[in-house]
Amino acid sequence: MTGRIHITNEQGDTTRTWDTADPGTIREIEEVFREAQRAGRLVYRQAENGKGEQVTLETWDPVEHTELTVTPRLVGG
Amino acid sequence: MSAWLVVGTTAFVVAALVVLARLLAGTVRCAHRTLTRRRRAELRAKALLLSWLSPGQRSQYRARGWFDVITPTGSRYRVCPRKVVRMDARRSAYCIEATPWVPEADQMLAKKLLLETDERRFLATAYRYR
Repeated sequence: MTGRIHITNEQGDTTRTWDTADPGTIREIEEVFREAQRAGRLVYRQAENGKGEQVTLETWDPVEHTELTVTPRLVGG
Repeated sequence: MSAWLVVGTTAFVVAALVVLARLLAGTVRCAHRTLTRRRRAELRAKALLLSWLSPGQRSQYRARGWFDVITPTGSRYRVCPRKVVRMDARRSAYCIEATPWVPEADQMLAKKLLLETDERRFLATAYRYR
């Protein structure tokens, strides 16, 4: 099975994928999580009620959570 | 003598016009490319936002350009382009934006998700101006 992560950016977003059976591609996505964390960005998955649920590297399940979005860092305007 | 002057002046003016036209064409091409890139980015961001919205939010966004979010505490917020309004009696307005810049729809998605999952963090981050 393939998972997808949308990383929002100035182009709209960039999509990265991983193979749930391939530890190599999963490691690449773990690095995306680390980068997001360093930049103060949050990662979400769509919960069953249609709302967002925050996912961290510690709570991420690559097999269960296969649709993720990295949102931009928000600051007070 | 005067004929040479006319020919020389004409040649100079034509050459200057050619250079100017080339510069102008380059600037227009560059601006067009930037606009096309931005438009493509906005469309992509809009598609991602729509994939996250509930059917009710989707119809609000399509019809009016904003949508309402109800937080786990029961508060209702209106996520508009460039601002968020708390839909209570005081109608407080908040300014919160993405850094670095991302298309408006990506910003609205980030605000929706933060409100739905961590209203306290939203309130601690946003600047209330009304």
